[in-house]
Amino acid sequence: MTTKAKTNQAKTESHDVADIAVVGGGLTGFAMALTAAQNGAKVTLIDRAPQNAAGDTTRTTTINPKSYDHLNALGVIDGLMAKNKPMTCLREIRVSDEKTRPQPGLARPDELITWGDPKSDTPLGYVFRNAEVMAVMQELVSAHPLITAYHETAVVDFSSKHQEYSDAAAALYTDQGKVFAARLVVAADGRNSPIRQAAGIKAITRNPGQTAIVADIQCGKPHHNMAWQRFIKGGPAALMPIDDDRMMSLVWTLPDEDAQILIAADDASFSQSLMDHFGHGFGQLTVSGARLTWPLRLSHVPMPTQSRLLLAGDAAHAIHPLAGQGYNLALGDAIALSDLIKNAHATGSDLGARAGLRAYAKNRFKEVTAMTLATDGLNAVFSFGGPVTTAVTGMGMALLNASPFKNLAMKAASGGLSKPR
Amino acid sequence: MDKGRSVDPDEIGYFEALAHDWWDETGPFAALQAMTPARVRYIKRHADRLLGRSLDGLNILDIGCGGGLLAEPLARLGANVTGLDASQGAIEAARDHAARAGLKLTYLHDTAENLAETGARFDIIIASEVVEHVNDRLGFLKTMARFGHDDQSSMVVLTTINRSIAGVALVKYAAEYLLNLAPKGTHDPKKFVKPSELQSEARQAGIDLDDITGIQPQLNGFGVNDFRLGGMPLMNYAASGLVA
Repeated sequence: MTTKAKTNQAKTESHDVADIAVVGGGLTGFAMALTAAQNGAKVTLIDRAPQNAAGDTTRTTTINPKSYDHLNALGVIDGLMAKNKPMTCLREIRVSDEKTRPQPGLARPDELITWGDPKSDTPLGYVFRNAEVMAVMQELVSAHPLITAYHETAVVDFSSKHQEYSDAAAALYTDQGKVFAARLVVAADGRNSPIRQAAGIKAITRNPGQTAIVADIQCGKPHHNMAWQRFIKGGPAALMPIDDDRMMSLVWTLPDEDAQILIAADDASFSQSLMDHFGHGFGQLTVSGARLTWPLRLSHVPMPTQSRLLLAGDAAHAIHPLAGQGYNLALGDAIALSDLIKNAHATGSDLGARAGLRAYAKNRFKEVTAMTLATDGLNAVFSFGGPVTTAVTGMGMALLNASPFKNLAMKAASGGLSKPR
Repeated sequence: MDKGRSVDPDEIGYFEALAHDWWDETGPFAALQAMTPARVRYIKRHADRLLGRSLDGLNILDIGCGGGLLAEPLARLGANVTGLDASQGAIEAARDHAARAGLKLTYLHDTAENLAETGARFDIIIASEVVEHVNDRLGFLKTMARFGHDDQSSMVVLTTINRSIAGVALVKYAAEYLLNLAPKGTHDPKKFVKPSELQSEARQAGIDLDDITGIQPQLNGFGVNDFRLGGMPLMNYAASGLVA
């Protein structure tokens, strides 16, 4: 948009200034909006999608207990209970490589990592269907008195200075010629974040040449809330427990060309490929319903804040899905936003003030960087061995099994890496 | 308008020249902006200690308010804030910013002495980063005391810079010349004041400064963006007490 266009719009329109404008109506945007409103902030939510747009029923998300607690605080868990769609507990995770065929029952000595206790009261994590949490969040957002939502509205430009309020508010320009004003903008507009680009924030992006396939898989034997993560050539694959004891959610990352072949295969061939890779531990594996694919694009943003702007979720960190940590990072952003608002309210500070945003960036730096490097590194080591597969994979094993790394992985899986609060 | 005895014309001229920079987050007042949350925490803590209540609904006078860096947060916390400054440019910048920030404050371009003549009284009387810029510090403190209520408690809060080796070296020279944290020429180290001197002068003025707390800059990988309360008052410090 040209400067002239901005000027004309601002002359003709005057808006209330929101405390926080959240851009993006996905799982991250909704969590950021609900978190802000729960802390007493007046929120404007701007979403491309129509109100109550149906979420994706095949895609699932894994979260750790800390994330679960945050969603519980937002009312999401109660909402799921009311719909009789509780999250699925994840009680045990087994990680293995090409050489090992996973089996139920006792962990095998050649499995890389097993952790969790099937009988423990505290699960390692939880798995949910994105559509189910989306539906609950949509209801919470539309019912919340502090949130005003604008749907089917795309933000095309951002400025840290509003035409009318100057440096006291940021401006968001929409495709319909509207201008929104807010003390702080939270960009939860995805890995290609138009706002990040408009603000000129640097992102380091990488195409790993991999595509993720997601599908529901029926298993012949009960999974007992166990997840299997396989580091196999081409890319990692994971089966996560979902719904009931015979349903699992597959996330399989493969080289782009292999993924195309596999996605085009009939159900029987696809299921056979799965059996080849996962073995017979869960009995007969049968693909159920649609298979979805999306090409992986990884990105890292060294400084996720700028004047009156904060990036959240994939806009700030699109990581490899192999460890199921993406949404944990997004909810870590939400918890950090909660801290930012609490601190601002305690000191009467402007919500978009530099000090608070710097503290937010510092708060998020360690966890986001560690997780980005860990997931990217594991993927690289295990997926692209080539002629030296065995040797490299062996190194990957050693890395994965080395206790500092194992501790990191376990800590990340159960509670996040950020400082204890 | 009469200039009060405490106002140093050179100092006012200096701040007049910077009037447009008060709210620039990367400008000459960035360090003062970064210190503001700590200043607010100090005021909240000692309003609770001395007046037994939160800032909500209190009448606060901010003498030497500049562009309103401290006045605005206090207004956000529910106080009725009057900001006073001898610099016309600062008051204009403060009024303009408050309007854009959606806050209601009263800003007066005047001297403390003139306002005191009107008989105005306040629950909290603040001079933050001011006494190191005034002539006749004792006279200024006496004027502050005149804003105290006759029949109920009023609290005075001061923040300033110690005339210690650390204060002079770090606040005057390192901050102004090495780190660019404060505009060059902001401070005259001869006007820096030791906590004991300030307490003694305040006592003469009828203010019982019974707390002195250090305000420490926090250095980290992202620069000086935060200040903490506590520790020795080696450089910046805050003081509070009741008007007798």
